[in-house]
Amino acid sequence: MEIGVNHGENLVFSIKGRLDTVTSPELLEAFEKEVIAENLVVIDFAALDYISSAGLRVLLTIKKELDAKGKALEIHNLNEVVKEVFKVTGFGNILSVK
Amino acid sequence: MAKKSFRFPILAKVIFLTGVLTALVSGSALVTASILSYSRTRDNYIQNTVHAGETLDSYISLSFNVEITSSGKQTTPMALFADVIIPRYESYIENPEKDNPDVYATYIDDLNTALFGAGQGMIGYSEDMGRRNHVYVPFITYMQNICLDYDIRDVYVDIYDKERNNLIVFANNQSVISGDPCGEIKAMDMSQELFDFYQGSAKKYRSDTTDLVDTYLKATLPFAEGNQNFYLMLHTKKSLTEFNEESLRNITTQILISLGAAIVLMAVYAVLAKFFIINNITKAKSSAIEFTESMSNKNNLAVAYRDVNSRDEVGDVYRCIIAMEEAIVSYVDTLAEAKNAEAKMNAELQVASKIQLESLPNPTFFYKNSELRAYIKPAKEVGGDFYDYFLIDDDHLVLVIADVSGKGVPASLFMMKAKENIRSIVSHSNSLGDAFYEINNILSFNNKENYFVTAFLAIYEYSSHKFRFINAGHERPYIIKKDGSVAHLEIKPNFVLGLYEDFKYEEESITLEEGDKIFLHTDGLNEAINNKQEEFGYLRIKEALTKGEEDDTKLKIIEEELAKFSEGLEPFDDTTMLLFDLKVDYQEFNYKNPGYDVIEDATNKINKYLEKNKIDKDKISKVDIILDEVLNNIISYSRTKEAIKEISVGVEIKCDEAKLYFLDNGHKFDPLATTIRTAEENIENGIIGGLGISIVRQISKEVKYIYNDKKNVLIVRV
Repeated sequence: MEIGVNHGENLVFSIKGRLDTVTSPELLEAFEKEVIAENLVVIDFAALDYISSAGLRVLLTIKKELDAKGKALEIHNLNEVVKEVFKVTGFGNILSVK
Repeated sequence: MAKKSFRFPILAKVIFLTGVLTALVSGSALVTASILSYSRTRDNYIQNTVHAGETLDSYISLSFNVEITSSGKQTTPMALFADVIIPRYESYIENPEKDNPDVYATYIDDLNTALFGAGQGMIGYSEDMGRRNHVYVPFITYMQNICLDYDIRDVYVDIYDKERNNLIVFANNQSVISGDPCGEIKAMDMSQELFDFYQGSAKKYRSDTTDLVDTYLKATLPFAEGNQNFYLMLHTKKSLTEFNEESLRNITTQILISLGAAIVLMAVYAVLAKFFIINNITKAKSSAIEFTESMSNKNNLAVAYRDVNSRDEVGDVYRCIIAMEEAIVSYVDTLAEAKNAEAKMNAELQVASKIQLESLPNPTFFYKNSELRAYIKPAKEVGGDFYDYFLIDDDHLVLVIADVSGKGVPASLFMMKAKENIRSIVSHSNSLGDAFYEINNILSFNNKENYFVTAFLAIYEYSSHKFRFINAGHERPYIIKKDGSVAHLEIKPNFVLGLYEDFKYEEESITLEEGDKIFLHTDGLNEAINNKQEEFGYLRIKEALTKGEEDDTKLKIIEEELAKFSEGLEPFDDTTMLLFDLKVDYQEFNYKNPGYDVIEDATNKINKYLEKNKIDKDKISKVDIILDEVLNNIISYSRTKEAIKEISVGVEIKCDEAKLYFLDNGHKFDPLATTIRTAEENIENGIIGGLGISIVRQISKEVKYIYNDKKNVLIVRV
């Protein structure tokens, strides 16, 4: 799995590959390494194959940490499978999806 | 409310009867008595009259100044009085001056003096008669006393002048009131009866007379003989009311005596009846009642003996009741024993049945690309059908289905013998023909009751897909191809096992393809009947086998069809089915001592396989998610319990579906036992256990879990 980090108006993480048991910790690690000046963090799933529960947990952790800092989180470009996972787990109700 | 029927107890009958008899007897006695008492009372009265006369007689003889002239006549004192009175009367009555009061007074004085003595008595004057009277008071008092003594109202003595029809008063207890002195003359009217009496033609005279005061009886006694023209008479009067009262008193006494006697008699009879008869009846009755009541509590059932020894019909009844009670107790005991024995037998049969069924291998078996499903339903507690399977080595699977003749304990014992022999001999034999030859001889030996078993045995070689089999008189197998067609396998029947020694059995073989299914069954299936005596039959089996996608569904469908067909009739034979399925497009990957790296490896391999088979990308992603979640669960769960030694991951492609099989030999754990949670629940509970499985369930078409052969088996269809 590859993670692209882009600071700008928003902080953008681009994920390529899958977010599963093995790869999810890498995302969390990458996130915590960054100093976040921006008010909005975007995670781009355009190149994401799929996400499993491990990945969802990481997203939840990231969301909580940003909430504490008063910052926003958005997820962009979900494919069909990921959309379905978000829907059936209800994660679509707590994460902003675009 | 039920009408209480009238009871007429024996005691009542006895008393009633006695009462009736006594009443009859008493009644007649009463009638007699009343007649008698009347005459008795009357006789009493007459007697009293006589006694009164005698008393008077003796008084007179004692008290008066009468010279008893010795004329040689035997006579009473009263008669002597008459001798004094009559001459003086006669001379008075012949006196032409008799109407002169002085002449009368002289006559009276003279007479009274002659009788009672001079100066005796009371001299009175009777106004209405205008004459002077002498009333000798003590004598009158004495007369009055006689009345009291003899219970009579009046007593008087007078003399009747027959010639002149005159009555001469002698003495009268009412003289003080009526003022009649001794010698007073009254005109007399004579009734015929009285005349007859005076004539001497009637001994006694009685009449009922009424005066102003009362009705009274009058008795008259002739007092003295003698002068033919003069009659001396004693009269008494008795009040009829008093007379009737006296009679009544007598009758009343009689009645009371009768009544008393009746009551005493009834009491005596009642006591006797009670003591000799009714007591015993009551005892017999109470014995029956007590026994009947004790019947409601079977533990307390006991004969109710009583103390009845009488040698009569009642005693007989009692003895009969006791005999019956004893017979019932004995019978109940026998029944209870029999029931106990039966219950014990049933309990043991249940255990035997459990042992027998538990000795069969698991009804589900997954191995490599094969899936085996078994179904068995015994008709009785212990049956004669069995199935068996076992791996000889990791490339050979043995399948057996068999049916022992008969049912129940004998068949099941023979069944166990056959099963064990098949297992041990086939494991060590190269030729199925040789194996069956040997098994047949073992089962035929000492088989005096001629039990036998039909059997079908097959060995499947995974590497070559070779299916070798041998039949011993059993139902032919069905083969179901990948395209869904169903047909019988035409095979040699050979002969049943256990009946005929040294029979030469021949094996056969075919080669199976992926997607082939072999269906084995016992004749309990095709020979099952319904209410119209129709058989389930091969056609219905074939029909049912065309339905159902999954293997376990296929067997369920046949079971349901069979149940519908038999319409609730109990099956009379054991029913067994075996379905052996070779999966199409199946790949399996095995991992020993797995760690999390297994997930990546399995995912890669399976992805390759799926891509090769042109499965679409989204489905592959779903498969990947499932692999991630399930394997993660299995491995992390194993970390908390015992370490898992082996995981198998299989994937089957079937009609554009991917079917994943997860087998692990870890601790028994059903991941589906947790419920699907909503996102809210998920979030609230923080990081969630079960989220992974939740995702798996919701993105897959079907998830099933079986614990089979010490393995957790999870099957997921995507």
